Amino acid sequence: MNPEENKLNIPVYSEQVAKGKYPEYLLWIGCAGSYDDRYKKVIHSFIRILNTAKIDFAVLGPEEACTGDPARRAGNEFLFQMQALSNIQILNQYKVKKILTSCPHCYNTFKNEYPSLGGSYEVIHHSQFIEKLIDTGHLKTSDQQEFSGKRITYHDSCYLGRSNNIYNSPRKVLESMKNELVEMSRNKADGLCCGAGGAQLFKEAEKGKKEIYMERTEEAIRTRADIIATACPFCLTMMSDGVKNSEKESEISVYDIVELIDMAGKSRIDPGE
Amino acid sequence: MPLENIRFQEAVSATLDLTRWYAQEHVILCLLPAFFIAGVIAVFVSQGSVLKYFGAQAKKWLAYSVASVSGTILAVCSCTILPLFSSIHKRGAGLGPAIAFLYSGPAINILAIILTANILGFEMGVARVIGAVTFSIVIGITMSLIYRKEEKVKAEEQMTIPQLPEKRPLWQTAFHFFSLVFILVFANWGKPDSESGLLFWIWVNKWQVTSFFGLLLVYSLIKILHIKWWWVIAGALLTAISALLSSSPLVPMVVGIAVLSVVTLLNGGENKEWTLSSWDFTKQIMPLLALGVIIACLIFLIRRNVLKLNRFTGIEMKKWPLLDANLILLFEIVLMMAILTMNAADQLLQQKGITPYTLTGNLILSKTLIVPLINDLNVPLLILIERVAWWFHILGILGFAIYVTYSKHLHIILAFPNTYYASLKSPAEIPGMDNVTREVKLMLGIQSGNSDDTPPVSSDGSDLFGAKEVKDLSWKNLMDAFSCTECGRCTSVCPASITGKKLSPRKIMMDTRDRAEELIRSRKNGQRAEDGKSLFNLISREELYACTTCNACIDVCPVSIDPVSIILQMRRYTTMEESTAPAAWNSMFQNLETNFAPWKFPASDRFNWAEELKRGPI
Repeated sequence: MNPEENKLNIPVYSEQVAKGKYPEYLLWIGCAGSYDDRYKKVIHSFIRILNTAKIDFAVLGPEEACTGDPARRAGNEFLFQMQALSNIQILNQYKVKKILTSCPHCYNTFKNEYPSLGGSYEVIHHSQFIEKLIDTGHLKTSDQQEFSGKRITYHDSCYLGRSNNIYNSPRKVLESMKNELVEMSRNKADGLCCGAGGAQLFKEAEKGKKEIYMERTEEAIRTRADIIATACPFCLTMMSDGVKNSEKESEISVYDIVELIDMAGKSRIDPGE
Repeated sequence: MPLENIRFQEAVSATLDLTRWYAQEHVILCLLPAFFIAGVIAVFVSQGSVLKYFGAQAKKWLAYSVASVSGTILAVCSCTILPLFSSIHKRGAGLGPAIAFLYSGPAINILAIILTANILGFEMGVARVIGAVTFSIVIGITMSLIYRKEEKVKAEEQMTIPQLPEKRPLWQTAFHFFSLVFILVFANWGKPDSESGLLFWIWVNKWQVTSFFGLLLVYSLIKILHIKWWWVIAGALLTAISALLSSSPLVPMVVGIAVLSVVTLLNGGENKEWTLSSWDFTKQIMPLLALGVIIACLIFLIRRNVLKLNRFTGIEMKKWPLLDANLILLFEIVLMMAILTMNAADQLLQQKGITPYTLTGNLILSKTLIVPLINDLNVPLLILIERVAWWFHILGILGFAIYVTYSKHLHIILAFPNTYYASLKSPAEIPGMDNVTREVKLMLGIQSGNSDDTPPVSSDGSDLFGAKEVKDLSWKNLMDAFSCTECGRCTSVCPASITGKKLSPRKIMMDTRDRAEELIRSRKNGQRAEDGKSLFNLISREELYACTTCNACIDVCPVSIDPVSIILQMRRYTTMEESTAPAAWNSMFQNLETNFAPWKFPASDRFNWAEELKRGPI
């Protein structure tokens, strides 16, 4: 494969607007995608797919800032609104209509909390977007897949599932590959949190008998799955830590759904399509 | 208004649909006709014929064999057979044969046997018949042995009953009886598995077949029961018109039963007695409900105190909450026992002909459960028992109504409005604070559009951020707290509680309620001044900080209580008023303020990822 063809195209919103173009989608990377080395791989896969499907998008780049979700959940309403109102100013100035994001926390904040502060956008989570790409035939998985026949269990993100009723899109994405999808005993609306929401990711957990992510990872391991699939940067971190602490890294790996679909279609990607 | 919301409408209609399905299909098509059939046995079938086959004088083998197989043709369910059982028992059948009839009826009805043989195989069909008949006889004989003393008295009484001549030929009674039985059978004809054959044909045409037997009933009412023909025809026409006007077969069934009741009641005599006796059987449903309550409460007591279900334990479930839960269950059991005892004493007094104990018909449950215990008591004692039970029950109900207002059981009243006023937004949408918005807009130099940009003061005049005390919470938070029945479903799904952290969403609700009650009490005592306490005396910071805002507790609560809302408001207080958030959170806040990211990375590095990714896969 020509390395040039594989090179990512990452348009920046301010440059596009300067050229008089208003991209259809704003791709919101989020703090995890910007700074966390593990999650950058997820963003890599997502942008590759967007490039292949020739989606008209752009990122805010240096103008992006935290949505304020952890501040709000930790009780710092001032800080949240500082972030929110500044972000809304930028988004509205660029006349953003549709926001694509892989982070359920950003998704929830844009979708449910920005409208009352003057920022109303159509917000699409990457699981929904990829589901649509598959449905419309823009994204095909190859016949020879890296994960053929493997068992995958999907861990529901609270902010995607219970909070925004997105249970089926990630599962449909996984079902489009030649894998066996197995459910944990607590799934969908009954799914157990990974332990990172509500600003928990940014501090040590309170005293208890067990870490929440261990409880959840053990449940995932009990399904005898080869892969734990997530659709949230926080869940990805927590479940990876859980697998590491259980010393099961050789038996079970943790991926975001977009990485899996990217790898499943790798041998097929045809830039000319 | 939530009324206009589709989700709310769906939830309400799904609940009503289930209730309606049972109430309509089962009660109208099955139970109501069965009451009338029981009435026929009680009134038209002469005591002589019941005694001949089932009575104490009848040969045992004849009584049991007839009783254990006669259910075949009735095609009734286990609930519908009850009034039939009590009618033959009332008519003088021995307890043994009557019980055999009660047990075998639902098991050997012809439809059930055909379906069993079809689906599970011929052998299973045969096994079902043999099993049902054998077991019913064994149970019947056992019951007659347990109650042999009462049965002996009954047998002696029956010796003295003179054989009355039949009022009408047997075929006429049978014709009337079976026209009703077949209406019951065909109206409830279930859809068979295969889409062909006689069973399927009957299912397709079940309303035509049912109507045919309805016509036979019309004939029977005129010719056999001798009711004025124009009354019957007018009633039948009314039923037919209602059938044509309505799409549901339930409507003509209700109209038909109403017409039948009116016509027979107006006619008087034996026909009036028929409907009145059907009504007597209907009344026995009440004691059945009482027994249901007792059984349910016993199961609940066992779950709480013997099986000790996980979600009924926990530090917040000691002392008063533990006592409260058991008191409610015991209270309900005692109240139901009072009703059954009152009826039993009443029954005995009726039998002894004491005024004003007018005949009410046989209340079978009280009679079998309680009467044996008080059978030998004298009349004044029975009257005492009946009066005490009556007053105990009525005062108990009123007392319980007062108790409820002091108990978690207030749930039974507040659950409805609390669900009605529940937020229909995503549980992850945290309500904003207008006072903060105004200030932040001023700081950022954004025009808010409002001319009166006043400094941050919340709408109620207090300048507090978040909640320290009950009064800082919303009225919905408080209604949530008083609607909670401490079932613990929230705590059983809370990731923090599951992993042994101090947080329990149920405790948050109970503490909020307890603090509110504490304030109400001190206000009543005239202590308007602060008692120096707040919600934080009951709810610790450790609990507040353990919440992951996963919203599982809100999702699982049957009455939409939201503990997360209280937790977040109290977090707002500690973070914004006290600045006592955990150190790690304070660093996160600092990073957000300076780097616009929760981590300690410079904002200038934010877009570095793009260059890294363009260099190729990491």
